[in-house]
Amino acid sequence: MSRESKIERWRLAVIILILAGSAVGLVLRLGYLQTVEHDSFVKLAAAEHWGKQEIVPHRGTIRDRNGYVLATTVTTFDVLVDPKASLTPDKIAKTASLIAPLVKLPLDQVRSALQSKGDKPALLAAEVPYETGSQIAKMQLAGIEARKVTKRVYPEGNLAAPLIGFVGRDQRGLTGLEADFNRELMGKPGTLVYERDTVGEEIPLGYREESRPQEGADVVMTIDRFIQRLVETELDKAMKKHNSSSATVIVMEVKTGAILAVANRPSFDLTKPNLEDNSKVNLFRIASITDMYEPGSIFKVFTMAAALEEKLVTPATPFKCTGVVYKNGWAIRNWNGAAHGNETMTDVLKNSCNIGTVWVGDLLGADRFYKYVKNFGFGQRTYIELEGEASGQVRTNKSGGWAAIDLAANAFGQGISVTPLQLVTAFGALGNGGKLMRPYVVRQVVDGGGTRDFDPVVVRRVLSEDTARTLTKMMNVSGELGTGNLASVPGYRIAGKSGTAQISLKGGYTGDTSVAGFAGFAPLADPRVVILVRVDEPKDIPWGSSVAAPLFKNIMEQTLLYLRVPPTEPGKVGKPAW
Amino acid sequence: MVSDAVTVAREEASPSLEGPRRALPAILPVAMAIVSSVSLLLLVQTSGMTTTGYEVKRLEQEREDWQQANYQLAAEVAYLKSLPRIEKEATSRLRMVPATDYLFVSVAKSPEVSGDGDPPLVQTKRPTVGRDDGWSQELLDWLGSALGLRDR
Repeated sequence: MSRESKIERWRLAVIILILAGSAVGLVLRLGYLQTVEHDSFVKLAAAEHWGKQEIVPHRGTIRDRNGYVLATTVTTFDVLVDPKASLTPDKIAKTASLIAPLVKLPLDQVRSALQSKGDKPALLAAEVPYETGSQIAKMQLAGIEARKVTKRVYPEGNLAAPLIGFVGRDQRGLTGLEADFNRELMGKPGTLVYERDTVGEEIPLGYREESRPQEGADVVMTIDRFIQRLVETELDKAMKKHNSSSATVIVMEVKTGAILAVANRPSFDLTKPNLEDNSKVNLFRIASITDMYEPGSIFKVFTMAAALEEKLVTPATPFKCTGVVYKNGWAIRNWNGAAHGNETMTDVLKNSCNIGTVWVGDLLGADRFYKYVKNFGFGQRTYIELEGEASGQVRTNKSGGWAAIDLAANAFGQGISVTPLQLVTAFGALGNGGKLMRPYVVRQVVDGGGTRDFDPVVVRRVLSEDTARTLTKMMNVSGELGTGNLASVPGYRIAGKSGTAQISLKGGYTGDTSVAGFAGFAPLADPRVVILVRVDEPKDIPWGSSVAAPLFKNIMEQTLLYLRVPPTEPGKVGKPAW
Repeated sequence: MVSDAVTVAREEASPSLEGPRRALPAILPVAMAIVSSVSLLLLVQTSGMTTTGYEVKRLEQEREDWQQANYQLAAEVAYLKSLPRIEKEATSRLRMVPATDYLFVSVAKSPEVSGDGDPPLVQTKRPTVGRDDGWSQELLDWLGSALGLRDR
């Protein structure tokens, strides 16, 4: 065999080897793809072939107790122009003439928007009504895009903003009721599974399976929009008048615990919540349930209630106020530094006498006092349906670090922290014949399947009816010269108590600021509403009787009128003008 | 023997093959007609299904449009019933002012307002405290009895 033929044979052998190797490689690769990678390719193929789409249900509506809409959802369209479309002048003119009347914009504005240069679509008209937007989308005009936008709207404006809360871009609740009742409001999303073609469009006769979404339920609150608006208006006026840093008002139905209004100031704009500024995030809280404070003299009524219930005192029990009492080496004085002299227990409340209340606290003793404090619901959550509720802070004689001075201070509302909601709920129990109600803010959830009602719940009986009636008479502020007389409402008998609390800091109190408060219910004979007013750091006058009581009076007067509660006292009855 | 048998067989077979050959021109159009009919029916059915599919899609879109329009109208109604709007209309268009003083007056309870409905707009029972028996009350009493609303 010649050398050349040998080389040829070698070459042939190499080519055969390469081809055989390639063939083996291909077979192995195919085997690998068909076996090891089988599942992932099946998934890829299915993903290409099957389309799945979530059908978002319509978010439910939040209503007030009379059915008026406070928050609802509508779908609108944003109309955008796409500068990449590169339209001819004729096309621009034609498109502009078609779009301008629909989006209610001047023809020139639409034309210049269509002529503009850029990379991204630019907004031409926002929140175009659904019908018009849908019409624009169906026109399929080059350079024009109509995008569906789901939007939460608030017909009553920013009414009860922290309570209602707001939703995110995905229409899920972020704060307030929107978050706490998100599951009910959101409903259940549906799904659509379909076969699609190579460009991703649904095949008309292909497989299609649709499960319809379950629309979101409507949440009916106990809030009354009229009372809520009244409260917010009066709160704004008071904040301005006293230049205070913040304020809270709660209006509650005495017999049920239903919250008719709850307002905090400062507040925020529901349509534009500022999530970027950390200092504004606090505004999203429902301060009435999350923020604690020392209630001050308002708390004296609970000390008195306990002593009356235990039959340790009667309204006429005498006491001599010397103006000062010493506990653990600390001197306790009256709010005005005065000595009230001979007083009855009714006078102790009327004069808001610290010394008399300390004496009553001593009569009760720590065990009995803290038993009543707990029974009135302090130091524990009320279990209202809202998240973030604080339980308050009560240091009892069973807690570490407790001293006799604590009992004395707690008796007149210092050294104890409560939430405004706890305070108004406990005060309501006095007007409700001694029965403590669970506060609630949602009375009904209505969905396609039916209605779920939230009924009033009696937590416990704290006082006997007799004690509650006796205490109510002792708290009558109508026409009296007690600290709450500015709270008097002509034509009605009111039971109430003012309080001026110091603001606690670590290891003491601020010297120059206070929390002015007033709590009361009316009418005395058959209480309908209980109102708590709290005004923080008023700059002109510090006293609850001067700052909070008039605000209480304005709200109570108009609330009773609105609720058609007839007056029982002279002043507003039976003198027609004709 | 074998060839004879084949011959016989061929001779026997030839008259039976003649029949189908003769019938073929008749069967073929019938078969074609059947196939065409079936194809046409399939086409018609497919086309009908496609049309129905599009119609269903169109109706679903229409339903969605109406539903969204309903939500929008409900929101508009809510805006029109809202307190800020009512106040604006009352003060700017109707030139109303907020009431600064009010009076509760006693009127006779008519049979229409008795029952378990909403509370009446005005007090139906005269309060025992603060009763005013002045001329106005007498006038009201007289009017009430004259109209047959109460006994004198």
